Amino acid sequence: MVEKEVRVWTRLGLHARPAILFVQKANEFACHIRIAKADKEANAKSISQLLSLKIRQNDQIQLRAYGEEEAEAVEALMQLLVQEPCSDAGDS
Amino acid sequence: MQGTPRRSDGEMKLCGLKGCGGLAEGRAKIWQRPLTESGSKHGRRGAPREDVGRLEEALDRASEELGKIVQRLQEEGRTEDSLIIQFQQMLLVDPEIVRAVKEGILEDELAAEDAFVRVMRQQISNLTGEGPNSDSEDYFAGRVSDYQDLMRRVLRVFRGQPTSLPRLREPCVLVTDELTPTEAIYILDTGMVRGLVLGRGGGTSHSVLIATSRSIPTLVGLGDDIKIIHNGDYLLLDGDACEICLNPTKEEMAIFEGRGKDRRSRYRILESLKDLPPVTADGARIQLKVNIASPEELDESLILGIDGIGIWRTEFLFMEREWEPNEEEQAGIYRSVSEKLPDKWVDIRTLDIGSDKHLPYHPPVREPNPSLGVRGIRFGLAHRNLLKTQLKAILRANLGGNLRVILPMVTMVEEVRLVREMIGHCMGELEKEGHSFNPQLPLGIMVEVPSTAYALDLFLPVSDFFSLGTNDLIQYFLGADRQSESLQDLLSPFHPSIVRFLRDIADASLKAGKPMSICGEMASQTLAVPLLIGLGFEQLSVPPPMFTEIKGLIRRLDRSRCHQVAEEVCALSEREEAKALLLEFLNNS
Repeated sequence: MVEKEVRVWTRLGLHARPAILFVQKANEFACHIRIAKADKEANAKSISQLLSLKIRQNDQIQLRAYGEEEAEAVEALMQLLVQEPCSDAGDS
Repeated sequence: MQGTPRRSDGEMKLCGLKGCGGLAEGRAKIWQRPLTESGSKHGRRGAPREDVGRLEEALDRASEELGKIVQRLQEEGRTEDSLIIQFQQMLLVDPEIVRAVKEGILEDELAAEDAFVRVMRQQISNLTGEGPNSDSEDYFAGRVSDYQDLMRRVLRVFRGQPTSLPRLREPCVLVTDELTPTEAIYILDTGMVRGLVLGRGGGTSHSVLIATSRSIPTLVGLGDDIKIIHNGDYLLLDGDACEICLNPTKEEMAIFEGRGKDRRSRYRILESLKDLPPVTADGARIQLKVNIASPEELDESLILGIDGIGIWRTEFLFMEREWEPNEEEQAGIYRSVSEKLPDKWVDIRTLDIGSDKHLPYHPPVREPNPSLGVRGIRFGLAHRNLLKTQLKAILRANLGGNLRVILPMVTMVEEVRLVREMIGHCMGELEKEGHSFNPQLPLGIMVEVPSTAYALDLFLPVSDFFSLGTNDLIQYFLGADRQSESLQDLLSPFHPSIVRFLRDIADASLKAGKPMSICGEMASQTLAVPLLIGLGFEQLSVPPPMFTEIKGLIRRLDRSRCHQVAEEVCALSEREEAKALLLEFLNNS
């Protein structure tokens, strides 16, 4: 299992296009992939579950992948969530 | 929200909420979606496995239908519409949804369609259930129509029924309770719908967005009043006045046509002045530009022979939608305007959010004094994603080389330097991504914070041009809230301190040789224009409806006489004296 925590820069929950791209990417991998925010977890391949997490910019989320190509999957999805490196001014 | 109809000879008026502005008229066509039974007729028959098979078939078929719609929309460049439908497509292959439906079939012995409906309803109630922040409530509530649209489609496919859409053989004003996104797309693309009346829906529902992008005047929220309209009633729909007139009398037709004429005669007056430049009587050429909030305003202005766009208030691109426009979409919009004014500057002001303007999908931070808070460039630098996306879009759109960027609410030179750095990074990213862009992008600043206006020389090295935002400048300089109704009188541009301040600003910018345009309300106030020209300003930017009037005014003025009266005004100590002097001056021009 590979797990990574990341601060979300795209408005995944509110923004239709990134959510669609994220789920499409997740579905390219064979492994199971979960995305979690606080105490709620969702299947990253399910757009309805993803939206139900209501993820916003600056939310801290965890990505977990289990199985074939788990590391690549987490990496690829992280890229979609992190559009630019953290910067101080961006934290406000 | 619902109008009170006046009944007399079948003629009456109804009121609604604005969906999309404009005037439309035509015969009413009432459409009611046939009631679909919500589930299977007989419950499940046969083995569960069969129903799973039926389910998969139905989902495939529905997916095919949606795929065709998406393809057509993408070919037509309607990306936003296609996103709406793509979302529905993804629901059809959503593993959790499919799993839950199959569970319903295999474990709860439901028929395929009943299992499907149950899961869809669950999803819908999840969306409308708990109450998060109000902004996201709107977003999720908006998704409900997508789920319902999909649910109806799949049920229809289960039954092998064709789509039940209205047959429109002649132009009409369509009247119906609500439209799902796919219905709206299909119906409005027939080209037969002149106007749209909806019983339900808020101003930003998907069907309204779809109507607006096709410029179809739309009123929503009429509720039960739509039952008052009958097939064949002649309707006059005014999307701006938000009213519908049924079976109008001659008088009402005349009024309606008058409104249309007013909107058209404006074009005619503009036409006669169209080829005349804004030159003063003594030959001084004043640059006269317009301020816009959306590209739609520009079509009118094109006729007017403007000298460019003085300010494009881009926050309006971001508001009144459910999510921010992405880089691609923004680039397309900026490019379209750039192409309309190929040899004129188009000054794009970056997102000026905060104070009185908020984005529906961005939770507003509570500030005690929003106009002194995190707004303008402060907001931009605190949300660099947004700013970067906007900058990258502008870079990509600037292949014509006539776009410029203006930064709002600049207080420090450091802010401008930071943005220049960001632009550098943006260019680097665009190169890596293989997008072409124009590396020349002039960067200017709004002069609206007094500290900036006071020490303009500090900004000369970092700013290519200036735009004076008199509305905010006056507010900050006089210490009075623009949004306070009781203080409106105080916020006079003819206050002696303001007049002197403007004089100093004009002097500084003339000395520096860097152009300064005036883009606040003051530029379109007839009493203030001679003063501004007299103080030495040579660039004004006004709202499109004021363009011709101000052009006409400039042509009447003698600039050297304006110099004189401006000097006299500077020596006065009271606003009323200043106004009286300027009024007299105007009457003698």
